[in-house]
Amino acid sequence: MKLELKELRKCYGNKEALKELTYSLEDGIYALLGPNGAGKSTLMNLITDNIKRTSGIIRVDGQEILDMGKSYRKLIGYMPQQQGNYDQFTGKTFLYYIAELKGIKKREAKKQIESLLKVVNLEAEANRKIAGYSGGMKQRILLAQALLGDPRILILDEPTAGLDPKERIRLRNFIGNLGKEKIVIVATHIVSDIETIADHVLLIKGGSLIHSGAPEKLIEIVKEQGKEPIGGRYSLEDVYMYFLEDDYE
Amino acid sequence: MNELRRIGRNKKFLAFVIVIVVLNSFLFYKEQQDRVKEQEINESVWTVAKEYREQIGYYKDTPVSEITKKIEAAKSEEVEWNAIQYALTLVSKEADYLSSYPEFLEKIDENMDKYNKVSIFANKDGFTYRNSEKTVEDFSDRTKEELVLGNYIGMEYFFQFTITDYLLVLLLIGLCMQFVTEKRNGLLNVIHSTANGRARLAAKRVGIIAVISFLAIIVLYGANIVLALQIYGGTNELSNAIQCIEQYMKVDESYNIRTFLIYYMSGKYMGMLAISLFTYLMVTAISDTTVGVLIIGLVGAIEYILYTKIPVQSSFIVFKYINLFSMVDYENVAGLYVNVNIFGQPVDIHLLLLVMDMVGIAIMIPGVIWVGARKYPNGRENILGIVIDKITEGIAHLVSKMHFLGFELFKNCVFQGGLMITIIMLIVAHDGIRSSSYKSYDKVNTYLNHFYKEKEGADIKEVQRYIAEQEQDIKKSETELSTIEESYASGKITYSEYINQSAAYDFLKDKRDAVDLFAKRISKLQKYEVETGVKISVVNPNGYTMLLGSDSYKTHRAFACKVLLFLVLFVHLLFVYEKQTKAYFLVRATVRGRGGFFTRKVLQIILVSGILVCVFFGVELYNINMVYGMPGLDAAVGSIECLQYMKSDLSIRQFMGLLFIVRWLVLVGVGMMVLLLSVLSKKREQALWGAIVLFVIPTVLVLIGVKQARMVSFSSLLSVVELLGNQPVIRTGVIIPYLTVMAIAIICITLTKKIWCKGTVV
Repeated sequence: MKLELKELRKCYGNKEALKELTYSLEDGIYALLGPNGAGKSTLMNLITDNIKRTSGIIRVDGQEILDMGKSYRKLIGYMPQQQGNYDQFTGKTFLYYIAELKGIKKREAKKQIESLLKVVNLEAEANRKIAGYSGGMKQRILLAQALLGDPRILILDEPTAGLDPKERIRLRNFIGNLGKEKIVIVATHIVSDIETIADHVLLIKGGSLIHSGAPEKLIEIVKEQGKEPIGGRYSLEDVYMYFLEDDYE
Repeated sequence: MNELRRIGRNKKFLAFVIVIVVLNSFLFYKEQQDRVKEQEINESVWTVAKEYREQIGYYKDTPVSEITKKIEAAKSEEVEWNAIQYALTLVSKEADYLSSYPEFLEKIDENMDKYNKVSIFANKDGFTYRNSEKTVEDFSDRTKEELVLGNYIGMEYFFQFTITDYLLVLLLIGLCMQFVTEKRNGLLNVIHSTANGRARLAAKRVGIIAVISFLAIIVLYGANIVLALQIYGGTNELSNAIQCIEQYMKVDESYNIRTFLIYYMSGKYMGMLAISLFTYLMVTAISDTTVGVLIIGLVGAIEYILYTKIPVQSSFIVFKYINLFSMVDYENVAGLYVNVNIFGQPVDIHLLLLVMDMVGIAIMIPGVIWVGARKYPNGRENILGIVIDKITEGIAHLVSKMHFLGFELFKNCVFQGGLMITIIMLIVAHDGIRSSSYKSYDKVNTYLNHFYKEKEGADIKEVQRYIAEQEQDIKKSETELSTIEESYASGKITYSEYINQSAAYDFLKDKRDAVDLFAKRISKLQKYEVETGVKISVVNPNGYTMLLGSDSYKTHRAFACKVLLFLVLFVHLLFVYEKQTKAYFLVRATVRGRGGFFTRKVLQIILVSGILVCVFFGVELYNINMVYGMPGLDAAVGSIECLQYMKSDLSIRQFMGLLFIVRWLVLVGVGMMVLLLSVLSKKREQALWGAIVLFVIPTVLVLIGVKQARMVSFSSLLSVVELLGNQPVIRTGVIIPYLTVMAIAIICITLTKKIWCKGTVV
């Protein structure tokens, strides 16, 4: 599967939130790295067609997503950054609700929900109301709903926010395995989360794609600058600081 | 003080309080105006009140037993129905009551003697005997001398005005919801972890409830008393016995009106305090505020059913009066004399209510403080929390099996307060149900009803034969009466013989008038049948005229206000809820989260509109059927004079079916407009208030008589009959408004779909 973004642009009044971004994605894990307000969420919302683009094209296997309608949304699983959910549902009921929205038949939904609750480690809390969940539990239930329907394109906006270290490692490993058969786009500003799993890194700042490439290649570029590594060895943190922060020393 | 200051700084709550205070006085004043309008007198309430005061002053020194005769004579001098006539009617009604009071007192003694003679009641250890004994004792101090004619109407109308009770409950519930703000904005943990954030805070809040309840009662009821006395006067009569007001005939205590007012306000205060504390306890003891509110609603609904459905003679009468609603409806309870059987002893219901209030308050105050001290913010360790969790799991398990529309209805009912709104809607609808089938008719109408009953469903020729028979009977009676008059004139019989013999013919004038009126109506029906070729039947038009006649618009305007308000409450959240919870990104990214989601919302509107029309239209039909009956439903619509402009062979049943469909379609149209507001709004308040301003307020303005508001209100469209008037049905003046609504509704659906499915929703 191929997801193409061509000269994608989004303006809010006079402010350009995204500036003519062009990129192609195939199966693998793509990390969107950038500071707050860089345009990561805007890009995610454009890909999920939740906001109207100012100009540009988004294609899946050569077909514009706006022309695909429902059939495009069958391919995607989206985990938003804000914890938007229905607090009065229990975790399980919420997943059934999303399954219904995704058009998954009841029997199949039951199987998937039971399996996903294990994956996100929420089996014991499935019958509790989401309002009573901790921040991390809410993140996990949101991830579970994104995975319902086995989507081909998975869009995860800050998936590890609020998780404890153990959960973050679990999730990181889980996402790492997904990338073999899916296009996984992970937006984050926590570089350690995607360091070992990302196949490609897109560096976004001020609405523009500053640079992109495999993590090792980007680290090489920074090494060649001769700067001292942060924390003793070169990592994506150095890449982040070098490309995205003006005061990198 | 800080807590009170925090609440005082909440502009929304302050605005809410001000609206309630203003609305209370406005509605009270409007009710006084409506009383005069209902009498079809073209004068202001101030003029009528002035006339009443003058008449009271005129007859004040007349013995009560002579007042009615004198008033009848005075009324016959007035040619037209006017303020003076109405004032005289009121004075006469008061005099009639005052003259019947001694009889009421005598009956109490008579009942006692009666029970002594019947063996099963004469058992001195039985409740019946003890009850009648107690009744005699309680009323022993009451004498007919203490009742005097006076200006009591202001106070009478004050006690009859019940809307203040519900406004007060609303205000106090609003106050209690201010105490759970920290739950809603996530600060509960912070507050709970402070030194004074538990028991002390709860105790302060109890104090605030006590103070605000007291002030609210003084302000709301005080304003009505002042207004009543301003309009009608009667300040001097406040020292007279409370029993001078007919509603309080059965008060057995020696209260004057002033003292009774204090007792009444105290009773109200205790009751309202108990209700407020109960509400506060529920919303704090139950972690989930939504569930707490639902439980309050359910308890309220159960109490309402018990209060309205248990008959006075039932052995379960305790549940009728030891009840939250009896605290709200205290003006009626205060006027009752009821002794309840408690282990064979007659116990005054007021005493029981007082004890219940005091026990309830005594339990709830420490209860509320204990909950404040002990309950963890997110804790469910208490039994109530565990039970609620289990129930929630069960409901969630059922909901998981639901079809998509089921999920959306569940969200509407539980998350969006739909269940609470439904409970309130059913209570409002039930409140409109007439409990008695009794309607008093004058003699002419009594004859007419008899004629219709005899000849219901008959054809015109048969009825005309019947009329001829009645006229023959009348002629015969008139001849007999003439003979009697001649005998008296010629001295053959004495005056008293003449009076005795002619008394048997007192009915003649009324019967003659009735036959003439009946004949006129039948003649009109015959003319209609000949002109249109539509076969008509003789049907008693009374009920249908109330339902569908030119004056029915008054009821229909109230109907329009109610259905539109509830429609707005149900529908305004349908899209804006997703935005406010930020779930819309998630929903719209799914397969069915756009078109499918939108379709379900439209289906919800169709369903809700149908239910609203069924409920409120159903209440209207039920009331008409209760009082007048609905005979001849299959008769042609032209059989009812007020519908003869229709010139159609539709049956009455079919016509009412059409009315239902048209009203339903109008509501669906309005629902689509509210839906557009919902998808355009960012917050629920925007959607709610926008919809109220656009759809509910114009209808309310029309209801209170602002003619200009008719142009922008849906009142006439929902009334249907108001728009039809008495003109031929198919005309542009009728069709265009409906087509316009449908066109706007279609535009709204199209725009809503576009915005939700395709456009930006941020």
